[in-house]
Amino acid sequence: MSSILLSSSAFGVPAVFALAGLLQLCGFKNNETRWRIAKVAALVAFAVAFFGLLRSPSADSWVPIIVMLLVTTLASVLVWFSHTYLKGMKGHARFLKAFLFTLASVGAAVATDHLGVLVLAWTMSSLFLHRLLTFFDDRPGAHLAARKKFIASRLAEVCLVAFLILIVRNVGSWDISEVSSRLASTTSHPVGIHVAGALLALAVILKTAQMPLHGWLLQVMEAPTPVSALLHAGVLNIGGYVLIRMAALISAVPAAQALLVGIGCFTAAVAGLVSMTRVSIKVRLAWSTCAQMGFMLVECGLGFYELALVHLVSHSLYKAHAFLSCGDIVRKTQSLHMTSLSQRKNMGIAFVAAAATVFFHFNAAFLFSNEMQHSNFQVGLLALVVASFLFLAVIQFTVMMKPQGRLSRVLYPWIYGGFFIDEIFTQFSNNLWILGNKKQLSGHASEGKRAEIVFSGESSC
Amino acid sequence: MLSQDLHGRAHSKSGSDKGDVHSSRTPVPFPDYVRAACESIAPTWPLDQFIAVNPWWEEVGQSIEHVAAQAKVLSGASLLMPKEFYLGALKDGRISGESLRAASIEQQQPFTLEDMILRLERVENPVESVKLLPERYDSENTLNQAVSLKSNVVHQISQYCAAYFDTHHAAWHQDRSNGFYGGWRIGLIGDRGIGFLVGRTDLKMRAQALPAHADELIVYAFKILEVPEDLRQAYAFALLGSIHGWASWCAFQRWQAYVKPNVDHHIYELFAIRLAWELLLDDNIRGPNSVHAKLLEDLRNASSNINKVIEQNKALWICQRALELTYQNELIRDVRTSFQIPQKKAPPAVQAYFCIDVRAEVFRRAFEEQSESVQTGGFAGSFGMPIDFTPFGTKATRPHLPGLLSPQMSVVESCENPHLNKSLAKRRQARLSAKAHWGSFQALPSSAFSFVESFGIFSLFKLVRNCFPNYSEAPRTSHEGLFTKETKMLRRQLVTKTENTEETIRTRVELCAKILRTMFRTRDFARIVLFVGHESQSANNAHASGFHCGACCGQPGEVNARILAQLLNDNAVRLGLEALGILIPPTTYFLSGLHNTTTDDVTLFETEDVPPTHLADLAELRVQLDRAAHQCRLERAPKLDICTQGKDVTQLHKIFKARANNWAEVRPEWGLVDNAAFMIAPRSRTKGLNLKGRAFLHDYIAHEDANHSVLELLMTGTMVVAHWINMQYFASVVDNRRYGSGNKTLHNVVGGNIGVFEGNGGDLRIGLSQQSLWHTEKLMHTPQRLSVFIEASQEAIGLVISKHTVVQNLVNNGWIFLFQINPDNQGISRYENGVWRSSL
Repeated sequence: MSSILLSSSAFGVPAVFALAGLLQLCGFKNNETRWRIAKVAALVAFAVAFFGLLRSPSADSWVPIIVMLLVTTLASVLVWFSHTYLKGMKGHARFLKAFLFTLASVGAAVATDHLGVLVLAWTMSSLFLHRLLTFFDDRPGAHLAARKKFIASRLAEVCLVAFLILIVRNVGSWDISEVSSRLASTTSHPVGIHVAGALLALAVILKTAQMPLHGWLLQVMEAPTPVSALLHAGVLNIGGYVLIRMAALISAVPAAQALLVGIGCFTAAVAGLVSMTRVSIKVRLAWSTCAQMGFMLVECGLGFYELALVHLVSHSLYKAHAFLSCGDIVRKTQSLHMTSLSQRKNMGIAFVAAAATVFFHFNAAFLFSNEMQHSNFQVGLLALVVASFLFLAVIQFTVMMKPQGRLSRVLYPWIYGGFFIDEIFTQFSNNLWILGNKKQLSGHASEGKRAEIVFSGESSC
Repeated sequence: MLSQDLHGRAHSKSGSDKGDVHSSRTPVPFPDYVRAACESIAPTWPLDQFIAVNPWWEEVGQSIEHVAAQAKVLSGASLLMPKEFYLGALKDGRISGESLRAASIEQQQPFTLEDMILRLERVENPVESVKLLPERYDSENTLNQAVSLKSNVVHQISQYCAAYFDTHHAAWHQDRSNGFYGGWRIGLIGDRGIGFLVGRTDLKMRAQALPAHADELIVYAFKILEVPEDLRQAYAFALLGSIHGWASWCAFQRWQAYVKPNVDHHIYELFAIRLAWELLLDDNIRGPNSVHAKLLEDLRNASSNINKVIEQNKALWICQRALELTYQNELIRDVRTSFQIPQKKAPPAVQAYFCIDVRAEVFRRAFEEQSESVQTGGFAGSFGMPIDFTPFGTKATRPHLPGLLSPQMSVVESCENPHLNKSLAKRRQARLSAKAHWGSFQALPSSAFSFVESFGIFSLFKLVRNCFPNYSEAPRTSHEGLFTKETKMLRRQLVTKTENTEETIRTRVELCAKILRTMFRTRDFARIVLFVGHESQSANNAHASGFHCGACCGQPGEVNARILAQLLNDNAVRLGLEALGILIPPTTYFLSGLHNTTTDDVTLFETEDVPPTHLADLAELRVQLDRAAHQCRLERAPKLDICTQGKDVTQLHKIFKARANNWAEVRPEWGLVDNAAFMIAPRSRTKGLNLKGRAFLHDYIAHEDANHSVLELLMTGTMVVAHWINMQYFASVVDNRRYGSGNKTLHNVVGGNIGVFEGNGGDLRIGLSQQSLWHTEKLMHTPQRLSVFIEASQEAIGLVISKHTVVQNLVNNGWIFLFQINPDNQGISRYENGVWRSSL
């Protein structure tokens, strides 16, 4: 039993969220009570996670504890934000239920050391999130994106189940720590392990919205802003977290590394470029998440799990803030208007160029200092990474220096269209859905029901 | 002007497209039916100067009932509340039986309350609105699409428009050298995805076959689509209506160009783009039972359907009128009582002028209650200053006057020391560009990865800090990049074009004289005369400027108030005024201030310049303002769900301040919600009445306006501004999907300041969000047309009406109600198609 849950303090977090979620099932007359429960739960969960930190954890439980602190911090911020943000709208109970159960699932996935529980919790988080993504039930756009996500996630879970079976059959344990130590103790592994590693990589790729099945991530702006923040800063990162936990497996399977680096690199570069062309704030942030997730997978694929963890935490916090504060963009634009344009452009390019150089220098140096342990294969991957990020930088600078140049003009339609990958998937997922229940989404979101919020809430008095 | 900087590029591009580049080609003039449709769209302002607009402004030449029916049939829009709303109002007394009877007699269709309820409860077959081709194919369900064709078409056009008009958000822009329509066509040819989505695999070929210019496309498309000449206008209206948000944005381009003056064709090109989509989706099948035939039949039936809708709507309009009448009758009764209230003639110690804004009514009432020596007046918040303002060391000039007008003078900021000026400006630009670089460093892909990894963690502090209440003052965007110490050195100055001091003084004197006369303050000056502009304070709010001063083009009214006070304290100006017969005693001091409509605090400016003789007055004024502010907060608290019980002044103040700074707050204040009336009358007419923050107030003293020039100004300018605000609220309530911006929690800002999408995309959204209008199942704004009350002679009002078509349109076509207050016999009459009828 001790293997199922990493430690008693870690067990506390999902339990607190689940309990708060269950309490939401009671028929409270006053929404304020519901919010009070959620706020208390978030703070208690944070305290529990913090307690885990204070108990001088063992070397291998650092990662879950840090991520648990991250999750509970985000949960608290999001509960406080949503309480005010959603005031006077319908569906508080529905929102809180889905929100708390999503957090409970994320918490369980982070806390557990049992592979089966991990896969189950991960799946649950996706299903509860689905409820949040379709919070505005009358918006066809919300359903379309949620369906696309549904398909990608279920594909991922098929991979995960196969991965589970292979691991248990080949290693003979459900424990992550046990599996890790056994894998680390030998150098040659049976084919089953290699396949399992590749499947895990594939599952993570699907769950972190990597190309070509990335489209849903860019279309989930059909739910209230805090839901976007939760998705981009929280749920999406489980993929990276699992890779970090399963470092021993990934390190043993070159195919998995190749998958992660290949897809991650491609997505980071392309999604990064696409984000340059985006004209609405939330969609630009979404493309940037897509790219950042790619970058995180690259780091895992190259074996830099510590860096990946830093990236995961930093990106989560950054993206949560970016989403929640996206109304501020108008004020920022006003301040841009006050900045004299020509100077800004030239200096900006120089500055970005310098920054990028520093970045490459730093990364390359870091990578090569550890080169001793790297095989030729890994050096090859590294070369690929450096090449593609250089490629990205070259394109970016060319485009910015010569906005009306040939490259810029030829490339723009492709980049603007996101290489037209998503349209195929959209149509495919729709056909699949229609096979299922013959229900077509009609009309655009806003053409649904008469756009009137039926508010329901109580005075704070 | 700011908008010139913003959109100059787009303009010049399309200008050259029409002129130089294709000079070998003679453009085909746009046909009249297209012109009519394009000219029916009213502009929408960008988010950083989000002023209110009547979305039907270009159609006020027709009766509101006709515009409503036409909008319903041609684009499915609504100008009336659903009948459930009126039924509810009839049943709960918001519409009185007496008003209903009066309203129905006005329409020559007598209804009793019971009749009307029965009439409304009767189920009627709704008249179908025109279905354009995408919608037709959707309903035929011939294609198996993930998203309906209709929304695909809107989405494609909308995304293209956003990319085309954006100048600041994206780091990589499309090639604009092919013009608006031309760029769209080329973009579509290169689009390898859209064909999938709309189920037309030959879309690329079809796009290639489209003419390269908008004017040619229009002619070509009508021919291929075989639309008879007489149906084209209805078709054009319907097409443009299906992309109404961006059409409004294009209308803003046209509005800006018109002021310059210049010609702008974006809206025609937008029309061409939408029309082209009909061609792209056309299945080429003609003849009976084809989709095409059904479209033509829709268009053919349009005019008879419009009549049918007018007939169907009659009962609703009677209810709407009765709703308005209920309010008007109450107000008339109240105003009548004011004749009985004896006006005390205590000599005022303070004369304070506020903006006409309905939120000022609440504050003025509270302020007047502090002391009998407080006198307040209402004046347009721009204080008659036709200015634009350029923040120090920048080129970001922004208009500070109503959107209807263009600036005549400029206000700049500078230090006393010209040498310091230059270095400070340089330092400011350095700080601003450092900030901008930091921004691009975060956003651009090649640096974003390392940025996030190294600095992302610092967001933790911001996230946590924002969860705690913050009581700070409103941030000054125009002072970003300057330290408080530095901003204190800056003075705002009115610049005149000439170097000649004499002429400068003369212009200033003339301006001041004009303003004081319009204010009716040419004598009996109090010791302190205060001009109070207003601003709103909210955090993380894309529509923040919509709560600022509408008369100052969505900016805080600070600059206007400050400059006016400054001018009037200038001895040279006072001397000049004396020569014009306006004697300002040396004991009078002019002060300026800013009313924060979220917290109700009033900040006073340049108090350090106040002469020692007036320091005692200043101290007293400060106390009175603070007390008034508290009283306002008490009055506003219940609507904002703030519990006042057991809270002292400071505690309540803190709650309001925290609200203003809360990044999650979607209702920082209620803005101009429930505005309903405009009083053009002396304050004595409304003093002592609780107008509940529903009335715009402008001082007017008829016998001091012998040639009616002030009345003319008020009825053609200020009244129109009030009407725009009133209609923005009206429109956003009756049809939020089309004229409002939907749910704020879904807002997604486009192009940094152009507007918002609701969710991923869809059309550009204009107007107010649902959160600004509804609260806890309750509609906070009663949709009703503006009731204007003028205390002047019927002849004078009639004269202004006969002189101005705009005013005629508004009053004769049912867009506003006009009342005359007769101080002699205390009668109130309503203007009805040229006749004055006594009310009550």
